[in-house]
Amino acid sequence: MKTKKDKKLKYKLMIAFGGFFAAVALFCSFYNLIPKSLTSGIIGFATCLFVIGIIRLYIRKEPLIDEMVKTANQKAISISWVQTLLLIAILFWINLIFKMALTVGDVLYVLLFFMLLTNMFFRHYYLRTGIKE
Amino acid sequence: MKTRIKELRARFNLTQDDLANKVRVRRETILFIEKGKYNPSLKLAKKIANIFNEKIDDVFRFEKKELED
Repeated sequence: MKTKKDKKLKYKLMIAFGGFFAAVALFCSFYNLIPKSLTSGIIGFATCLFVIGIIRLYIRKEPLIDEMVKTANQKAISISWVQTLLLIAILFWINLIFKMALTVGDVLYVLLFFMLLTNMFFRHYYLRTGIKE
Repeated sequence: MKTRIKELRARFNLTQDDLANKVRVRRETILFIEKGKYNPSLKLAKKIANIFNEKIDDVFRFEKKELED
């Protein structure tokens, strides 16, 4: 079990790594060592780490995520995965039978949105109706 | 599963919010446990029983059929 000290250290490390990554990315970008698209990605990631660390450490402490929310999340993710597998099978057969020229990008976009939507839907459903086992 | 949480809350003069804060869960979780729509983990059940100075068995009651399944 994590103690408060461990958690504080974790958030301090997040802030430190966030600052470090952002500084390295800016330095590399300044001297054209890495492509600009990569720089923006790294800076975005570093900013997320930094901001989350600051918020958790100084502003809003620990979020209250209780076991029912965790269970709902787990159930929603597992159902979402199963449905996505079914969708992949359906897309495969549609592609095979109707000779549609689905690109990898198309399939990835469809799967991404489908997973997000089903996950959000089932999470909301379980949190509204309860989890009867 | 039937629970005596509502009855015990009334005896101890606790609201759902108070109990939720004591065991560090959302108020909705207590509501669902009371309604029998969510089965708490053993850890949460123990925490709730401890608040009322009762045994888990005395707070959460299973019917014979449920145990046989």
